[in-house]
Order: sequence, then C-alpha cells, then structure tokens
Amino acid sequence: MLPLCSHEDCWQAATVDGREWCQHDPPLQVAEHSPWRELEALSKREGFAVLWAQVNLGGRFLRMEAEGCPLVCGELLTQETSMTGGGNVNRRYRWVRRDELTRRVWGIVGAEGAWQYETPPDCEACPDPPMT
Amino acid sequence: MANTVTFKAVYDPGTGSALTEIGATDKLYWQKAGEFAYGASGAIPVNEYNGGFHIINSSNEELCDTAHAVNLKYLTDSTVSINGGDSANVNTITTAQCLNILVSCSPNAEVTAATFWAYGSGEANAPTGLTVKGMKQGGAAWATIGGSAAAIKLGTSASAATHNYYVALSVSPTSNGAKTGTLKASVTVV
Repeated sequence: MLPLCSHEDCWQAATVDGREWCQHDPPLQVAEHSPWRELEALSKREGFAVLWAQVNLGGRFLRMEAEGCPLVCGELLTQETSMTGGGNVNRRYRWVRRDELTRRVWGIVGAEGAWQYETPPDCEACPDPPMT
Repeated sequence: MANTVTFKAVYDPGTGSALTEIGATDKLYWQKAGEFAYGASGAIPVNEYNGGFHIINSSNEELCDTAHAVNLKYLTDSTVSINGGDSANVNTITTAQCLNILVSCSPNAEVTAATFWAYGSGEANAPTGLTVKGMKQGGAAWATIGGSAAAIKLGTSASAATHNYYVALSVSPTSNGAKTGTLKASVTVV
C-alpha cells in the first residue's frame, strides 16, 4: 500500500508500470477533464493499466484492487433542504468503482463511515450511503 | 477546493431580483394563494396545489418580500399555472422559474448521474400526507417524486467547472395538518 498522501482528501492509484499516482500530481492537472479522466487517458496512450486505487476522505481510506477490470474514482455530492425546517444538509463522499462484466462494485468513504455496494453494470449513479 | 452542490432560486431579498442561494437555515415554503402567511392561515386546502411559493428564514419570516419566488402550480400532468396565470404547457416553464441545482467542480469534472426526489420519514418513503410533483425544466410532464424510487433523473453533463440543473416543484396536502418533507439532490461526478 502507498503511504497516505499528504492531501487527506484525494484518490491515489498505482499502475502496472510501477508508478504511483495522486489526484494532485501536476501531470494530471488539465483543463479538459478531471485528474482521474486524465489518468485514464494517459493509461490508454501509454498502454498501462491501473492496478488498484484508493480513496481518502476525512481520515478514512478504502482501497480497491482492479483484478483485471477497469477502475474509476469519483465523488458523490448530496444536498438536502427541509421543506418545513431543520435547515440544509450537504454531504460529500469519495468512491472507487470496479467495472466487472456483470456488476459494478463501489467502495465509498465519507465523514460518517465507509460502505461497499454492488450495482448492475450499467449503473452510473453512486449509491447513497444510509443517513446517520 | 471541494466539489459542492447548492440550491438556488430567483427572488428579491431586497437587493434586486437575482438567483439567490438557499441559505443553510432557509426554507422553501409553499402556501395557498394570496399574501404571504405562515402556518395555518397560509395552509393549502387538502387535495389542492400551492398558490404561493416563498423563501423563508428559520424564524419563518419571508425573505422574498420584495419579489417572491415564482409559483408553479400543478394543474394536470402536462400543464401548469405560473404565478396564478392561465393553464400553460409545462414545457413553457423557464429556468428562472425553477429551483436551481448548482454543481461546482474544482478541478473540472463531469456529472455521470444526477437525481432529485422528496422524502419523508426515510429516503425511500414519500412524505406523509403530501404529494410532491416535480419535473426537470424542459420536460413534457410532471411526475410524483416522493421516495427515492420515484426520483427524477436530471441527466449527465460534460466536464466543466459548473453544472446547472433546474427543477420545477408543486405540492399538495392529502390530509389536514402541518407536513414535513425533505428535498434531496444526489450527484455523481468523475
């Protein structure tokens, strides 16, 4: 496992060519898209695969092995507003997903905990962790 | 900077009509037609839809006192009354008349999924005694959006620093008494 990045709010990954990556690495900062999409573009151009990826948030981290499948890292953002009082609630999670042939496996970390879900292979929406 | 989602609505808080963020303790308040009236005096009759829409603070005071937020009243699945006007096709509802869901990303990111719904005692449950109608701006028909299984899909959005979604809302009590409910947006970004 990689040492935890100094940025505690990020994803990290390792690729088969031995390189280690963090979301904040300068080569991944491009205007066109997110650092993860740039890592995907780089891996396609240079012909390397992601071995595993890890999401870090709020002192929690969760790592997922590729096991020969594509991995994706992203975020889930939720906003709630009460129709009758109680104010607004923002939540933010980081997730890593393994795209298998017959399912998608999601690992999610947030301020309240860590969760794992499975969804059908065409599901793009990150499952909402339960409220606490 | 962290990615965020915020709700906004067009109203005039006294500094001019503008798209204004719904503050942390602000509330969306639907009532019967007429002047702003909080509580029983503004109650929407059972099985009727809202005649007024206001943004109020935690003390239940109207924030949109100079110019109210636009009221969208469900008439049929494909029609709406806008600010008390005649029946109009729902596809005439403009973005400025809707609740704005603003997704801000830094660095740029794409939205791969976005949903919106209303819930009551739990995310899977519709608000008790309340029918909530909603639709994505530009859509062809209202939908009942109570409970996560009834969430409306807001669609994807290509990589950018900001993504705007717009949702029209209308509510109707199905029984007497104060109602509770929560509106939720859930957005997946890569």
